[in-house]
Amino acid sequence: MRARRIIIWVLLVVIFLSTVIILLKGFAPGVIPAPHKIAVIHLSGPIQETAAPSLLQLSPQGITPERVRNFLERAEKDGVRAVVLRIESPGGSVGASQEIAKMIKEFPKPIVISMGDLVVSGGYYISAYADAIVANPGSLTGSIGVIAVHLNLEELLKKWGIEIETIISGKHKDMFMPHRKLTPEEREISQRICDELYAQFIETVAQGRKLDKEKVLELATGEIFTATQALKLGLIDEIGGLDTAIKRAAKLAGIERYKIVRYAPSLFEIIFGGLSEFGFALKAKILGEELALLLEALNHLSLPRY
Amino acid sequence: MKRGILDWIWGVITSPMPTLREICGEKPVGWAIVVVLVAFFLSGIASFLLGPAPAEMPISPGTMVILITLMALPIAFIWAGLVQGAAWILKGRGAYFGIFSGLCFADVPYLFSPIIALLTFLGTIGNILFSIFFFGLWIWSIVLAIMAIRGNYGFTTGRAIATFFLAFVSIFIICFITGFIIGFVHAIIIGIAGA
Repeated sequence: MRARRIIIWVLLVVIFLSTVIILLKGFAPGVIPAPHKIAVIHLSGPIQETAAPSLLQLSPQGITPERVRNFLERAEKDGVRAVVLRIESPGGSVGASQEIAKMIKEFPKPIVISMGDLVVSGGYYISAYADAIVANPGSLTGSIGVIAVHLNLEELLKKWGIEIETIISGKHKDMFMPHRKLTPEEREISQRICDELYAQFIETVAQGRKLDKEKVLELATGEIFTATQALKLGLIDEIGGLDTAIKRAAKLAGIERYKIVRYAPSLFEIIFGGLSEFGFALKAKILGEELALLLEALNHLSLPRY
Repeated sequence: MKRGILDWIWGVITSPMPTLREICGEKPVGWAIVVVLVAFFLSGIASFLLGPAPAEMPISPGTMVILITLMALPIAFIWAGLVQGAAWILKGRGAYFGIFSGLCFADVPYLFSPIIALLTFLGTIGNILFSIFFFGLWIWSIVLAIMAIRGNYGFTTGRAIATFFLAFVSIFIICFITGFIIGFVHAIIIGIAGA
């Protein structure tokens, strides 16, 4: 009887200690020595600030500064030696792109970009400050430039019998609204804004890629390049896939043996991320397709984007 | 003599048949719930925090462990229900909470998951050993479940095995029907949206 009790307690202690070791290994890796780690983080979609969730669009979509910050903070906390960002993006908002680029620039460990099929405009902007950029031969990149799309919904609104009256203080206050055409003066203002942001884009690429500003200016026609072309132009560093990027990251970190850790989106994003398109379909069913499209268009502001 | 949780667990390990028969009779539901929650939690952390990680995990390991632990109780209730149904088909009569308690205690082997998970510190060979031993825990748990079914319904071993597999197969049938219904509803919604 007594021997049985002792055996039971010994087993319980062993199970408890094993559990503690596992929890320490899983959540506080610095306590127990572990092999070097390289984090692989997948970022795909348009670049934007966090979209405020509405009833039918339950989670923010795309690449946001908050998501990137969370991933990089986690990587730093886990003591990774380098980070590989696997990016797939057509670009997006200027502010968000600049914030993400700054995070990548200031991250204390090497960051290597591994490009997917399409990493252009804002996608290239955020890649510029990385320690190295690797892309497959057929990846498309570049599109260094700024675009601002102004929707003029005047005729559509007339068709629906909708009249919009704006009361403004400041004569250009409603220039980004889509209910009318831009005046020539407003077109000039928009052009000036685009030019200023264009200059910032060139400055970033020149600094990040250590290229002559004049050379970047020549390339910054908004043109898209294949990776092989981009390599010759100095816009990327190596041709290869994700494995090549990981090896490059290891080399930059000065390590030969390492473990890959992948950071996954949260359970919330997994469950609700896919619902936004469903949300639009449902909106279209309730309101009618034209009205749903009109609402989406009215919410569009003709702001410049990378 | 009133038994404590440690006595039950020791009994399941050292003399499983009489102990599980006793558990099915006594129905210590509270302790059964504790056992199944702890078993799921420990096997979860062993599998996802230290065990050989799957190549691509859609959610983080910590979230996975929490999810598995939260799902332990619903799964235990559903599984006991399926076994009760399968036993009823095979003309067995027994208490639901009897089989529920028995099946929960059949998860006792998973309490050893953290110990075998330490094998993964040995690298690749350790991962292989972990997989083998974890498979062994699974088989042990199945054997205990069959003993619990025997104890609760008074079945022969053959009938208890048949009950177990009938309940197991019913999971796939239910998943198939559920998947069919979800797919059907999804198709209707997409069809309506597209029309």
